[in-house]
Amino acid sequence: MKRRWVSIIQALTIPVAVLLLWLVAAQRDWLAGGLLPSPSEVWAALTHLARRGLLVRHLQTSVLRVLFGFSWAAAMAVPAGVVLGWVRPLRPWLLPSLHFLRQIPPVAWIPMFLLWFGIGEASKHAVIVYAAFFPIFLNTVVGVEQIPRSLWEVSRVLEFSPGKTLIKLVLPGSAVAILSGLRLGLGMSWRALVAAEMLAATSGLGYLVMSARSLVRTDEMVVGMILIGVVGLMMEQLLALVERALLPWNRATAGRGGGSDGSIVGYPKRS
Amino acid sequence: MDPLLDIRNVHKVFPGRTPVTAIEHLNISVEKGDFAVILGPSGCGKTTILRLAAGLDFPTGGQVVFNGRPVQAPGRQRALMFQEPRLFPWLTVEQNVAAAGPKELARRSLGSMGLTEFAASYPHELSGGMARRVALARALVGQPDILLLDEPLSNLDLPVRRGLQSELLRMWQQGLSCVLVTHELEEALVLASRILILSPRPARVLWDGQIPLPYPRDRRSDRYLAIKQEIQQAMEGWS
Repeated sequence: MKRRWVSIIQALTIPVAVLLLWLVAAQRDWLAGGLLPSPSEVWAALTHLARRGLLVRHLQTSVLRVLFGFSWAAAMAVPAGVVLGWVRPLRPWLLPSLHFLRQIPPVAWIPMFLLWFGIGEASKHAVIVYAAFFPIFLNTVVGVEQIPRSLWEVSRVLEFSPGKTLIKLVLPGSAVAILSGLRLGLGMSWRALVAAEMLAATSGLGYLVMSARSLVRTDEMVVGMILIGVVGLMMEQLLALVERALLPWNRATAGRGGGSDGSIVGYPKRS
Repeated sequence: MDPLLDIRNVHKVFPGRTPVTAIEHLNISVEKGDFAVILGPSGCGKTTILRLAAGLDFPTGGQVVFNGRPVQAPGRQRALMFQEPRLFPWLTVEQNVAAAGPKELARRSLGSMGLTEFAASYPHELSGGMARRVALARALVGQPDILLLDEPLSNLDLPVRRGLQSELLRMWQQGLSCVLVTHELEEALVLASRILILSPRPARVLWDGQIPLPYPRDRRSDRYLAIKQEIQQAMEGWS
């Protein structure tokens, strides 16, 4: 395995270079015209927002919305995926319609959800649930499908009950796929939420960026965008850690194409 | 007395664009206490016979009867050890074995196979021979009446193979009936109390006889060589 600090340096090279270029550009007045703020202006906006407590408030609102909606999505998508992956005869009935629904991006649902659920929290939650559902659900279906026939036969020979089959075979056998579905779903719901907050909200990071637009506060826009990226990355990394803690047997097989760990440092990992 | 496992006039056709007849009018009865080795060329349907006996597949015609009852589903009294170990990669050695029965029995089974110190290992950490041992331990936890073995010792080095052979003989001497399929004559002669030679597909029994030699088998004794020669003659039907 490559040394960790090498991959950390690799990961940081471009961001640091961009920051340096940005600083130089600001110093030499290349940014005149106000279309892009200078790093120091962004920093000032950040500290200003933080001091007024707005930063924490918007951040908290967005993160809590995502956690709430994502948990609901996971609680529905994993069982549904297990059922559809396990009970093959159901698939030809359901999969085509589900693949159709999957084509409609969450943002396209926002007007409908606003009509149905109003401008409050419920419409944002609906967007998140919808966005996170499909990656989790479809990954779970594929994960269950991919459990080797040979192991199903073992479960039959050992006379597993349905419950035991679920716990000893189906869930662990699809865990790698389920967890990467959760990671994808979390990312999708984060992006969808920000879009929803830009269209209809009075709080949240998406709202922060959008309200900055009406005042042409490019510094606050950049603060919001960077925060959206950083929080998304952090949530994804957190799930990657959970994944590694939950799947001790997968660490040895991952390098052989058995799965991927979601670490951005040294990602993608394939040998 | 009824035989323990009775394959009665069994027929097995695998459907498809060109249906394949794997087994045609096959009759094999295994008595309690047999260590029956079914010796057949590659692709003759040996594995199919074991899968029918285990209840993983069903005959197209005829009947598979175990302990006087037709086989309708897999059951733990008929333990099947596959060609590959087929351990659950996400379970430790101990969890794999305990998946087959009570924890106490699992521990004992691990102990008797000399696996106690590997109880907490995951399958990917085991050598090929160790993994087979775990698979054997798992097959025995359900306290089966018969152990069905599908070339369980293929692809193992000689010392490991010898070790597992004596392990199997020990189980058999403790009263476990065994049916093992293989295409290797030496393996059959070391283990079998009875050998059945099958023809190429569709499988028929070409030769069926007791091997009245003491264990461990002495590969250089005159009687061993005489039996070996007789069986080799019967195996000429393979080509």
